[in-house]
Amino acid sequence: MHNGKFFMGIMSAVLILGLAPGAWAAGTPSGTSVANKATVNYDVGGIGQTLIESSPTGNSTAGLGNGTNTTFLVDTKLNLTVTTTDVAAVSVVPGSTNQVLTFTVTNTGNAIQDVSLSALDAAGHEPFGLTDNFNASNVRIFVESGATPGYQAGEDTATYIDELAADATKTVYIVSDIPLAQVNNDAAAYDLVAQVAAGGGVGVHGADITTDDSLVADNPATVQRVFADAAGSNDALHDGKHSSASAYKVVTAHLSITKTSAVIWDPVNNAVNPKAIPGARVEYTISVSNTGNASATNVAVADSIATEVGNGTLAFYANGYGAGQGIEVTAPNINGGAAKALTNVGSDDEGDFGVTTANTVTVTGITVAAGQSATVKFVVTVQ
Amino acid sequence: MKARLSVVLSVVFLALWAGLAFAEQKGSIELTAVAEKEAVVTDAHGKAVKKLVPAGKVLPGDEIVYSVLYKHVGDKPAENVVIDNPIPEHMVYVDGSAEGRDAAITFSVDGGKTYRPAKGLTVKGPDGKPRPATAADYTGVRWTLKKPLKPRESGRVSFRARLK
Repeated sequence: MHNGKFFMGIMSAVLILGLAPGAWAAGTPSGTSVANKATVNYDVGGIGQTLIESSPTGNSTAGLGNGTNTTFLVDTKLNLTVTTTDVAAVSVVPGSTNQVLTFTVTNTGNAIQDVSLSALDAAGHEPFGLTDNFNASNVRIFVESGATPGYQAGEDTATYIDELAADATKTVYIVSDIPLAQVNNDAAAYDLVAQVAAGGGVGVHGADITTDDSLVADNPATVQRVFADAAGSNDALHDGKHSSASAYKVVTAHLSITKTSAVIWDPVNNAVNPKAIPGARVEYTISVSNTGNASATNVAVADSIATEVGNGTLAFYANGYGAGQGIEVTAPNINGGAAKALTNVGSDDEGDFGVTTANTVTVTGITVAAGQSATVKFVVTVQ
Repeated sequence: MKARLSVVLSVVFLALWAGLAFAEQKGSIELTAVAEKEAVVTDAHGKAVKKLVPAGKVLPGDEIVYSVLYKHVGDKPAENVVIDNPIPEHMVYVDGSAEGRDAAITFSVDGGKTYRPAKGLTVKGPDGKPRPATAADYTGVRWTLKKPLKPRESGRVSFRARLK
């Protein structure tokens, strides 16, 4: 029984030893000493001799422990990988603040590093097929604290990555404001550039590492630094940096409004080829269409006939679409998109005449999605 | 009982080795182990050639050429010469890389307890059933010289391994 337990103990020890190196996807840690020793066994005159171990310069002294390991030190691989996690341009509205581009920064080297971060204008190599034509304002960079996923103004305040372990990844945000003057389809592209910096001091931003030891002679006894990074969106191969680009795209509603009129009835011809003679009814059609890329909500249409009523040329016809219903609205979000007659009084539906504003047709609560349109109609009588 | 016996035997062997080491006994073979990297250098004719240089800058993924140089420094031929080199910790054997003239090459997957030719080596898979061993499973390389080594004769055996 005792022997069995002992054997089990050895088995689990071997398992742990066997698995541990696999945990280092970024490779054996910098500074690890890798030792090698060979042995030779032989006979002389048919008699087994004592084994001999190797040494870096040659050993012939027989016996265990008389050889010396041939060793080298694992050097420091400096390698950062920056990737944007934005799968498309980030849609922004003019005048919005704290708009976020999202990136990940991974230490694909084999030692703990600090990472300095900067944002560069990506004009000329924009992602997502865009053309950069404006600059966002108040451009800042913050590192995700890990407390709450996504950018949180109060939480994510670090401006560099402190002590990024080999294989570890941090989420980094470019946070900026969009000028109110921007119009639909404007784009601003940015590169997030990560620069490897010295690690080792918790809470201390280490100095940027701008040169490696590629011009220094190899030395098996010292830990040397080697840039192994790829070229990113705005940096070169093996320069201690890596970068990736993302972009803001202005997406806003763009409303255009047209108004047409048609005589629909006169007291002589009635509905057949009616003319604009006194007593005739004229229907006004106000069309609102959204040629932008975002939905416009809470659209209100107001049309005043105060001047015409004042000078006695026109009067509002109160029953154009039913008794007491002088207004008709056709909007995608009202009545399933079908025409709806509205009463002239206020509060009971989306429209009124003369309640919100004197001698004015008012219709509120219209939503016009991108590419859609809505119409408001009312009828006046020629005096 | 068998296990206990082998433990006792190991202790005896260790004591024996320790005693011999203390005597500083000079053996008949001098053994040198070197670790080198393959570098591309320009030769005198301006041609790019591969050359082995000392393993100075070594990063994860780099390949190291481990050579073992043996030289007979005694006066009587050495028979049944067997050179063992465990795969160093942090390294993975590169498949098919072991070389050695007039030597039979075998591999161990059990930390040097047994050695077999590459073909037919098996290890226990995750399901507990044996599966063919891959280069990553090797724990050691063994070269068995096919001829006795005569005085002043020397040679070189080698293998490659990649830093994890």
